[in-house]
Amino acid sequence: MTKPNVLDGNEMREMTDSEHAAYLACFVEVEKNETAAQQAATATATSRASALAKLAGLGLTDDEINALVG
Amino acid sequence: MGANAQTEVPTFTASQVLTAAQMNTSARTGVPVFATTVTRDAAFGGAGEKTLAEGQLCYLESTNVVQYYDGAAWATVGPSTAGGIVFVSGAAFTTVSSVSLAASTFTSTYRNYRIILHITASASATVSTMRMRASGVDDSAASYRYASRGLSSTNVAFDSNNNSTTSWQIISTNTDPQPSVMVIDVIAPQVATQTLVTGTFSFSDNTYGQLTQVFGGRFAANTQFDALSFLFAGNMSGVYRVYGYSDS
Repeated sequence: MTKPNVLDGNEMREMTDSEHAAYLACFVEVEKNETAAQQAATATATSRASALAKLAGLGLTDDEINALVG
Repeated sequence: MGANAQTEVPTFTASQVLTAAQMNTSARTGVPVFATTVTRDAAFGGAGEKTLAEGQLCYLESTNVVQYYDGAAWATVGPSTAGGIVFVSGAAFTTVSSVSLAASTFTSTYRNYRIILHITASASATVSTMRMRASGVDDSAASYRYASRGLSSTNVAFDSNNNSTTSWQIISTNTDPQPSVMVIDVIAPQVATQTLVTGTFSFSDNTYGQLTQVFGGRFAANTQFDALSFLFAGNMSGVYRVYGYSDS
């Protein structure tokens, strides 16, 4: 299997096995981080929407809710 | 004092018979070479010496510089050991997934460095990360902390952060294969303290248009590094330049 190329100083060459393993692991970590960030953002948005709905259910107007939570 | 160094700049008189040494001095040294500014200043204006005048050049062995006399004082032409930002290294690359600066790019010569990474062609989808490097090996410890804030030309916010991961994630987008640039300052990589990075990135995205990000990061361990690597999720082509910030 051909591995990706690397510019190492002034030398262009194929990644070594260890470099390739580290390279793949790096982007596995990146993907994991991005997934976690997206899940956190989604959870925050869901909680916010739920909170706003509850405030409206208590009888607050949109202006009052905006004044309270922005 | 070197072989080219002079101790005087003579003025010859009419009908004077010149020695071979005098002729050699005249023929071989277009710019008089002096050991120091002291020997230079002593070589002008004395008996049998040239009167110092505007336009005079000299080379100083003590500081390896060429200077000119402007009529009132000496000024350095170059190369100058002092001053500003100094080119360290650079290279072009074509269709690679990683770029590692050469070992010993960061040395004790400069405390801080600037890197300009100009991507001229890229894969259609790209994530770029950055890792510090020592003795030819990238450091993949979970010591990278960063936060970035960005905005697109279509007014969409792009933020990213992590408090403990194995690289600094510097671009994450459905990258349009358009040129992009990362300008990064690396603070104290050769000092036994935490290395800091800060930078700005400008790149293109198929969906969101032109994106600009401001980035800051830290390697949360007291490690000395002599280089760094960029890792790309897709192939990239471009050029990079590394500069050192001189302390004077």
